[in-house]
Formats: sequence, structure tokens, C-alpha cells
Amino acid sequence: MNTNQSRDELFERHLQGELSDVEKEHVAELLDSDAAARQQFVELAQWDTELGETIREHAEPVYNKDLLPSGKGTIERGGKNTFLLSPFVTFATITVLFILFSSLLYLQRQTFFAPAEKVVLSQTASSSIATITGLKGSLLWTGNQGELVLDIHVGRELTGGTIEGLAPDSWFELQFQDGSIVTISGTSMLTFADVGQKKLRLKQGAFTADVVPQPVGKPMIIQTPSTVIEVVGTRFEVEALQAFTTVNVREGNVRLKHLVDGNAVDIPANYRVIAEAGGDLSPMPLPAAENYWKSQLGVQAGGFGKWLPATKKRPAAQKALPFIPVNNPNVSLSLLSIPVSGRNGPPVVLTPHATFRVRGRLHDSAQVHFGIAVSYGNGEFAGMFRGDLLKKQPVSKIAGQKEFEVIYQLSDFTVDPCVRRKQDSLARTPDGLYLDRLWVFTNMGSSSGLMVHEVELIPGEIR
Amino acid sequence: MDDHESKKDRVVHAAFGCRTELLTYARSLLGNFAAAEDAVQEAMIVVMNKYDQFQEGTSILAWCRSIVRLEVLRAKRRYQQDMSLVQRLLDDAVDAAFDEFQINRKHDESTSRRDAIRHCLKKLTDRGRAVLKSRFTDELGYKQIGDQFGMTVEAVRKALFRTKKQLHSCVESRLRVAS
Repeated sequence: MNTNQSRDELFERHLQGELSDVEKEHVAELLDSDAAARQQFVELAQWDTELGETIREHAEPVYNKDLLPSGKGTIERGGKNTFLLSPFVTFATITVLFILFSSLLYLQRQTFFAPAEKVVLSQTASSSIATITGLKGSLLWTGNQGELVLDIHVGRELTGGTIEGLAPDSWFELQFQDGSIVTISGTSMLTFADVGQKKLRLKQGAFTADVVPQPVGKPMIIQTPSTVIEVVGTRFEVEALQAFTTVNVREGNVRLKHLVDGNAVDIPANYRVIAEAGGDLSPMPLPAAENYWKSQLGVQAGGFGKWLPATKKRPAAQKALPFIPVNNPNVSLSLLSIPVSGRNGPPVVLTPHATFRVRGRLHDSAQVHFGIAVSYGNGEFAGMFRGDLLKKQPVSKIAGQKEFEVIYQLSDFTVDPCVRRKQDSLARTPDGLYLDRLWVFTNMGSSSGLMVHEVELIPGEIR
Repeated sequence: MDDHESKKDRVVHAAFGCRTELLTYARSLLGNFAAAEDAVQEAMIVVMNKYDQFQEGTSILAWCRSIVRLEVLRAKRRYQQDMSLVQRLLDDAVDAAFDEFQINRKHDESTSRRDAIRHCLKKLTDRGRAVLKSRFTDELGYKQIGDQFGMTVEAVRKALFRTKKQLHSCVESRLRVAS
């Protein structure tokens, strides 16, 4: 292999994120010391990206055929797809272009597209595909025309675009015109489009869906950072992080493809798959619910806030970050959230006499507010509740090492004011519901230094 | 259209014109196509919000690249990507290389190249296209592609190198003829 070929391969593998530390060091040295190598690198990267983009534009929608329905829990090797170079202006190509380059619609009136494409794209951009049926908290919608909208409301009809939940207590429900309902909650980002086939991309966060039967050959496609999920009509939940995706199927049948290795699996009702690199894709029965739960902050928990590993002086913690609610820019909170159900552990069900114990640190004594989000057994969003409002939580005094401990009884929880307007369709109490996540915050107008070391849910009252 | 709107249109238009260049840059720092697309999309939102900070007459590509760099850093933090010293040195070297050598292709030129790539892709064998798709669309490694197609890692490496070289020659030759 000559030098150029060897470099090309090294650079190509760099673009795929495949280099070892030794190779990275070698590439860094090469780029630092050799102008010709720098030029070669940039030119190769440019060529490789142009080629990659063109191939990705033309790629057949993943698992668009030969997929559903099939047997339970069977794993197949990837690679059965054939790459079709179909005519450029076919509908499938346009839909893929639509998703990948929705932002480019901004330019459609500026002669960036060929005439045939312009017609199709402008039609898709102007027609409503879904209606907002519920929302709460800070949300940002970016439409296909590039417009950013913070003031979204129930009943608003949307064309495709991206909805972003900006806070742990954000929640958003969208109903497509065929009646399929999708919900995101917490700090999540979902891009959606429907041009004859629903395509969604969950960049991060928690997502639930209740999908009515989809047209033959046009299942709903949901892409997460590590998987592609295909569904013809079912009820399921997805939690997507960069490293792994969890899919719980409540009804029907879902097909999941792991992007890392191309493996695919059918997930039947009441089963779950946690797709992570090198992990087993075999569906496992949904675990039985438990009533006791304790945070595991020794490892990164996700949620909102900054995770701090343990030090000699304090245990691992989730640290609150400053947060300014969109609807109330004069308020500055110190806020953190911790996800509960949906991970490797079993779902957690709240019992009437349950108690939360929260331990952490504050710079100064402050009132510590506490909220939870819950769902029904079928995964549907059930509501949000606050533990600090009915019996107004006293200011938490800090002890030595600036530590605090607060207790919240479930019987004192009240409906979160933000979802009161939608109360008719949501649960009135959290008893018997599944705990999805919790959040803790202070409202001092400045940083309180809030961090939480541990949250424990105890089925009975603490004496 | 007032001056602000007019400037916004110009800046955003020019920024979208650099999209592939920005994607190339982001990909070189993130090592992942999908993550790079996300970072560029986030950067475009920033461009739309901060267009008034762009000084017309300076390089739109360089300005957008600085925005993409911030989005890449955010993405790395969000996904807890490797931020070791080696990685940071490599990122700095990549950044410097782009600063020195990246050029912004004209729209017509980019369109011609895409057309040429499409044309040349059609000339490949089905297997060649399938291997490329596995690499670019599914972002599979050599071993996974080998498993998929019953090839050794070495055979995949050679096949990818040969196929891309063949495509590159075909594209360059077609562009020469067209010009």
C-alpha cells in the first residue's frame, strides 16, 4: 500500500470515528507537520462527504419492505437490504430529501431546487399534517421553513418540523391526521414529517406513541441516534440517548434495527429491548413493577443537570443548572431532573403512602421544590404532580458540609399547576401510576448550588 | 423588505450554500454523519438568529465554521464523547487544516459534482453500491460489512478503497468532459 493510499484509508476511518488513540495521535502529528497531508485530508473529507450525502439521499427508507409482521423475538443479521438507485425524482427520494434537508426549504424560493422538486417540497411545506392536542412547559417548535416558534398552543396545526422540550417538565402531545398520537416529555427533541408515510427522528429524550394501523407498505419510521424503529400500529415507548435506546412495547409488534451492527429484531407486546453497542438485542419480558426505588447517581443518570462523579468529599451527584422558563423570563431557577422508569431497571409504581426522601447540598438554606411525571400502565402520559405545594415545604436548612434532606409524602402531592387546564384527561392523583422522572429546583433568583446525591422512594411513610 | 430582512436573507442563503462544507467539517470533528448533520442543523438555527453579527465582506464559510465548532463542542459534551488530550490535539489540527485549505464550492459546481456522482454510482456493481451504502448510510465498520457480505476485513478495506477510487476517477472525468 503506498503512502497516499495508506493516508486515505486512515483519514477515511477518522471520518467514521474508528481511529484508536495511537492512530489519532499519528493523524494529529501528520496534520500538524505536513501541509500536503492537511490539503489531502480536507479534500478527501470533502469528497467523502459529498459521496456520502449523495448515497444517503438515495438510500431506500430503512426497512421499507420485507419487514412486518413477523415472529416473536427473532434476530436477523442486517444486510438484506439492496441499495436501489431509483430515479431521482421518485416519491421515496423526495421524502428522504424532505427529512434530511427540511431546513433547505428556506431556500426553495431562491432557485436551489429543480422545478419538479420545488413543487413537491412547497406542497409538503404548506399543508398541515398534525395538530397539537396537549402541551406543557417550555417548548420550541422549528417549522420546515426555518421559523422558530416559542408561543405554540393547543389546537395549532403544524406542518412537519422539530419540537424541542426545553425543560424536565416539558410535555407535548401531537395528533396526526389519521389519529395516531405521539408524545414527548422532558428534555427531548423530535423531528416529524408525514408525506404519505410518517417519519420521525427522536434525537434525544422520551417518546411514547399510540399508532393506528398504517397504510400497507408505509409503516411509521422512528429513528433514534442508534436505532431505526418501524411500526404498523401499536403502542410503545422509546427512550433515546446517544449510547442506547430502550423500546418498551405494550401492544402490537415493533421492528427495531440497531444502526451500529445492522442487527434487527421484532419486539412483541409486553417485551422490551435495550439496544446498545455490543449488547444483546433479544427481547426481554417487560419487568414486573416495583414500589421501591433509589437513584443510582454513581453512574451518569441522564436527565437535566450536570452529573458530577464522586469525590473524596462528597458522593456522586446531579447538579442543578440555571433555567429560565420561556413563559416567565424574569424567573431564574436552579433545576435538575432524574429519569426513573424506562432504563434497565423495572418500572416503578407509586403506592398511596409512598414517600420521597431527597438528599443533597445547597450553598445556602433554601426552599427545595419537587415534582414528578407519571404515566399509565400502557405508557401514556398521565400527568405531573408537585410535592411541595399542598403542605408548603419549609425552607431546607443546611447542616454540616452544607447538606440537606427533605421528605415529600405522596399523599400531599397536588396536580402541577402547569397541567391543570388539561386535568380532565389526566390523572387526578399519582397513586398506582408509573413514575417516569422527577425534578428538583430552587427559586432564589440566583444559583443556589443545588445538587442531589440521592433520591429514595419508600413504599411506606417514613417514621 | 427592510435592511435587516434583506441582510438576513443574504446571510442565511449564503450559509445554506456552505452546508456540505460545514457538514464535512463537523463530520471531521465528530466522526459520525448523523451527529454532524445535527450539529450543522443546530448551527443553522444560530445563523438565523445571529445573522446580524456577520460582517459582510468577510468569509461566510469561516464564520459558519466557528458556529459549527461550538455546536460540535456542545454535541461532544452532550454525548460524552472522548475529550482526551489526544482528541483535543487532533480536533485542533483538523480545525487548522480546514481553516487553511477548505474552499466554498459555487452552487453550480456542487450541483454538477452531485450529478456526476449520481451518474457514476449507477455504473457500479450492485455489490459495490451495497458496500458503499453499508458504509455511508448504515455507518458500519469494516468487520460488520464483512459479516454482512461474507468478506474478510481486508477484502472490505480493498473493495471500499477501489470502489471509491473508481468513483472518484469517473466523477473527475465526467466533470472534465462537461467543462
